[in-house]
Amino acid sequence: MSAYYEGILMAVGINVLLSVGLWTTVSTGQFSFGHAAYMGIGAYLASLLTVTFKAPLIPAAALGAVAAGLAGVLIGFPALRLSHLYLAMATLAFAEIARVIFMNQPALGGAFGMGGMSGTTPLLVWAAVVVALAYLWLLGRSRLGLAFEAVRQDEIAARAMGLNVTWIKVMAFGQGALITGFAGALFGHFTFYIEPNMFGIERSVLILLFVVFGGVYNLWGAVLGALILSLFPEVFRPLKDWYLFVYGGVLVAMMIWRPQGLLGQRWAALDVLGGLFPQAKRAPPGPVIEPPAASLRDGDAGDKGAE
Amino acid sequence: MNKQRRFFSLLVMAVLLGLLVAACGPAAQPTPAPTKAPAAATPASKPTEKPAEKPAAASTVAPSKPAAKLKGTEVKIGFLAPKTGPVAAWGVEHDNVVKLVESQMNASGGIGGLPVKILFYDTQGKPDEAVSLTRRLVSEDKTLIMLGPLLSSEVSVAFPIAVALKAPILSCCSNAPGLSAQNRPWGFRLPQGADLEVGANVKLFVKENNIKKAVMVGDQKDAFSKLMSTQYIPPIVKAAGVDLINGSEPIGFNTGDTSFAAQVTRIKDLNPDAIFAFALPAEGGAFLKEVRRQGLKQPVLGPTAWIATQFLDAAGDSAEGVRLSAVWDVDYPKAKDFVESYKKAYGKDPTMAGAYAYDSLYIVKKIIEAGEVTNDPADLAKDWERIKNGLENVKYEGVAGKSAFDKNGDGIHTTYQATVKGGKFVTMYDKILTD
Amino acid sequence: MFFQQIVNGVLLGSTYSLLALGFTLMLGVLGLLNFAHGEAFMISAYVGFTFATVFKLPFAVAAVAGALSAGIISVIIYYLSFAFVKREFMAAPVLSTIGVAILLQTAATRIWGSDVRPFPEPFGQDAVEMGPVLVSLVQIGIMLTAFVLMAAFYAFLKWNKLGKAMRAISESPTNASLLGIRVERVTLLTFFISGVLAGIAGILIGLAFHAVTPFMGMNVLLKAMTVMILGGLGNAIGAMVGGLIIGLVETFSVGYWAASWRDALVFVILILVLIFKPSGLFGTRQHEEKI
Repeated sequence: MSAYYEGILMAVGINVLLSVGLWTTVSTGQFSFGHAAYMGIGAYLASLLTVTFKAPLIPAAALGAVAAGLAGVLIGFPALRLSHLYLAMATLAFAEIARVIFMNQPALGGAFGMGGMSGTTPLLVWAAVVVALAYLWLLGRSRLGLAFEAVRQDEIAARAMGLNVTWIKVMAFGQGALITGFAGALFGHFTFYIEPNMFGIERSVLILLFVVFGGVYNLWGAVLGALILSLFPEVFRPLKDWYLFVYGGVLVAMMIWRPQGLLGQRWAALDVLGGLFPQAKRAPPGPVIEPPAASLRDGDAGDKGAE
Repeated sequence: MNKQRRFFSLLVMAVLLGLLVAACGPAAQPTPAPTKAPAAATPASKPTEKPAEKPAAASTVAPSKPAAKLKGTEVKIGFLAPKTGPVAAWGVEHDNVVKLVESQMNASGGIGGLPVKILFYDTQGKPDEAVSLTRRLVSEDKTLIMLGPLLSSEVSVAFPIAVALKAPILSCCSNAPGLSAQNRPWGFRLPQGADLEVGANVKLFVKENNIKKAVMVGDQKDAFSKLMSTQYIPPIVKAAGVDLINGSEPIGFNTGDTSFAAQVTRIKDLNPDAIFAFALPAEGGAFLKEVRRQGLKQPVLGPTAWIATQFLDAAGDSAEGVRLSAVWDVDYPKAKDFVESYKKAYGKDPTMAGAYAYDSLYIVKKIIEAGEVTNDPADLAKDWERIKNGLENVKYEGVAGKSAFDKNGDGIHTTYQATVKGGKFVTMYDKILTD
Repeated sequence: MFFQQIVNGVLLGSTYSLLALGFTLMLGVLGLLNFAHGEAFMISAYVGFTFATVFKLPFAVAAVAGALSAGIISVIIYYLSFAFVKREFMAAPVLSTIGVAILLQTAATRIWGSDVRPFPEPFGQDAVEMGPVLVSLVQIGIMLTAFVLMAAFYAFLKWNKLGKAMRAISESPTNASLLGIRVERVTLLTFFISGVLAGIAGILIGLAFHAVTPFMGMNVLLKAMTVMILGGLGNAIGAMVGGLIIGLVETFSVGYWAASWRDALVFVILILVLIFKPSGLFGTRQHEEKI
C-alpha cells in the first residue's frame, strides 16, 4: 500500500480516536472546547520519551495518555461547578494556557516544536481504535454507561437517585482525556514533528465538529462524524479555497436542521429518516441552555426590582 | 499489468491536470517568455551535451522518440506551496512562477527533450496538509523531486517524510536555522541559513553605528522569530561586544498583536543605542511605526523577511533607514529577463520568493539533464539517489545569484545589505555581507 | 515609564470594553455565546477600510458604514444561529456561531486577502505631552469615544424603555412576554445594537493600531470573553471595569515581565474567576446560585 494511502488511513484513524475521546466527556453533558490540550500533552510526553529516552512507542504513548488523563481529572473537578457556557469558556482558556506552556518549554522545543519521532503504523492506530470502541461500547451498555446517560439527561434527578454525579463527571473527563492523549501520542509519531500551534483552538473546534456532526448522543455518531469530516478535505480538494467556506456552511446548516448530528439516539435507519421531519417534539430531553441568571443589573443602587 | 494501468492512469491524470491548469491559469500561459528563457542559466548547463535539442519536440505532448537518455514520456516535478492561508501571497507567486517556468521549459524542449509537468499542490499553510501532500507526491504521483514547502513550519513536517521515504526535497524559501541539518541527506533548502545571513549584517551594523548597548525584540509566537531572537542572534550580538540590556528574555509580542505601545514604552525607558527586531512583516512594520511614533530615533535592524509589501504598508514612513539584508531584488542585474517575463504575464513584480522558486526549478532541470537520471519509472528510487547526489554537488548561477549547497543542505549565497529609502527597498549590491 | 504604561493599558482596555459590552449583552440577555461576534468586529474594520481607502469617502462615512455593517452581520447571525435553531439541543446555537465565524473569516480572506492591511489615519499623528506621558490626539479621541459610549449604553439600559425591556428579558423571557414585551423584536434589536457596538470597536481599534487583518476578530474574542466574565455577565459597568483591568494587566505584563506568558496570564485570570467567583466582580450572589 502506498505511503499516501497509509497516511490517510492513519490520519482518519487518529481522528476517530480523537472524536470518541471527546465524545466520552460530552456524553455526560459536559462540553469541552479545549480537548486538543490533552492531545498535546499526550503527544509531547510520548515524544519526549521516545526521542530523549529512546523508549518504545507503545509504553511511551500509554504514559502520555495517562498524563493526559490525569490532566483531565484535574480539570474535571473545577469543571463540576460550571455549566455549559462557563465550562466552554473555561476549557477554552485551559487549552490556550496549555498551548502557551508548550510554547515556552525549551525541553519541548518551544515555538519551534519537536521532531524525530516515528513509529505509528496503520495497524497500531486502528488496533487502538478497535480497543477504544470496544471499551466504550461495553461501557455504554454497563451500569456506568447508563449512569453517564442519566447525568447527561438530568443531573439533579440523577443525584437525587443516588448516583455519585461528581465521580461520574470527573471520570468522564479523565477517560476522555486519556483516549485523546493516546491519539495525540500516535499523531506525533505519525507526523514526525509537533509544534504547539497544532494543538490550539482550531484543533479543538475540529474535534468538536466531528462529534457534533456525527451525532452527539451516539458513540457511532462520533465515529461517523470523524470518518466523514476527515475525508472531507480529500474529497473536496477540487474546491480548494472554498472548502473552508463549505465547512462553516455545513455546520450552520446542521445546527438548523439537525442539531443532534447525523445519527440520533438510536442508530437505526428510522432515526436518520426521522430527521427529515421537525424534531422538536421528539427531541430527547437534553439539558436546556438557560440564559444565565445574570441580569443587566448595575452594581449600584439602581432598580432593585422584585428581588 | 499493474505498471501499465498505473502508467496509463498517470498519463490521464497528467493530461487532465494540464487541461485544468490551462483552463484556470491567469492570463493564459505567457507565450513570449520562451525566447527569454534564462540566458544566464544555459551557459552554466552547457557542459552537459543536450542531445536532440529538437524544438519540434516541444509542440507534441509525447514525442515518439524519447530523447537520448531519458526514458518515460515526461518529467514530473512536485511543488508544494501555500496558495491559501496567511501567507497566500507568496504561494500565489510560486504558482505563477511554476506556470511561467513550465511553459518556458516546454517551449524550449522541456527537460532532456521531454515535456515537463509540474504538479502544484496547495498546502494551505497547514502542516497537516503538507504531510498528506508530501506523501502523495512521493508515493502516488511519483515525482522525481519535490520542491517546497515554503513555510518553515511546513518544512518541519514535510522533510522528515521525504527522509523516511528516501526522496529528495528542495525548499526554495524556508530559511529557519537548522532544518536541513536535521533532515540529511534528503532535505535541501536553497536560502542560506538565516543565522549566517543576519549574523553578518549584525556585525557590520554594530561596527558602523558604534553600538554599545541594545535591545532584542522578537515575536514569541512565530517560531522563526522566536528562534532568532532568543537563540541565534543574541550570542552574535554579544560576541560583537554589545550589551543586551533587555534582560534574559527578548522584549516580546505575539503574532497578530496590533498594539506595541507597552513594549516600545519599555524600550524607551531602557534607552538603548540600537534595536534588533525579529518578526513577520506586518507586525514588524507596525512595531517600527510605534517606535518612531513614541519618538525613538535609534537605528533598527530586522530580518530579511521584512522585505515584503506588508512591511512597507504597515510601517509607512517609519521604515526609512531600517537595516535589512537581502539576496535579491527586482533590480538584480541578472534577473532582468525573469522580472520582465513575470511582470508581463502577471502584472506585478516578482519578489525574492519567486526568484528563488524560479532558480530551484532550473537547478532541478540542470541536475536531471546532467546525464545520470534515467526518468525510468522502474528506476525511481535510484533516480532519487542520483538527484540527491546532484544537489549536493551542483553549482548554479541564475536569476537569484549563485547557488550551491553546503554540507548541511542549506544554500550558499551572496547576501547584501539592504534598506528602505524613499519608501522603497534598496539592495546595496556593493555592500556584501557574505559570500 | 509607569504612567505611560498606564495610558497604554487604558487605551487597550477601553477597546476591549467596547467589544465586551456587546458580547455581554448577548450572553446576559439571550444566553448566547456568540463566537461570531469577533468576526462582526473584524468585518466592520474592513468595511471602514474599504470605504475610506478604496472608495475614498470621508472617514466619518466610512466609520458609520463599518458600524452599520457589523450591526447587519449581527442580525444575520441572529437569523442563522438563533431564530431557527432549537435551543433544547446542547450548545447548538454556540456551535452554529462557530460555523458563522468560519464563514465570515473565510469570506473576508477571499475578499480582502489574508495580508495585514494598513488602516487609514485621517487624524494624523499629533501628540500631546502631559508630564511623563505621551498621548496622541487620536488615542485621546478613542478613549473619550469609548467612555462616552459606555456611559450612554449604561444610561440606555437603565432608563430607556428598550433597555429596560432587555433587562426584563434577561431575567425571564416568559415573564417579559407576559408583561407585554415583544421578546423577538427586542432580541433582534439586541443583536443589532451589540453588532453596532462591536463595529464601533472595530473602527476604533483600526484607528488605534493602524492595522486590519482577517484574524483580528479571533485574537480579541477570547480577551473580550475574559473581560466579560471578570466584570460579570450582562453587566455594563462590569464590562467597562473588566476591560480596563485586563488592558492594564496585559500592558504591565508585557512592560515588566515577558510577552510570551501574557496570554496565559489573562486566561489564568479567567479560569480563577470562573472557579472562585463566577458571577464576576459585579455580579451578585443571586447569579452565583443559578450558575
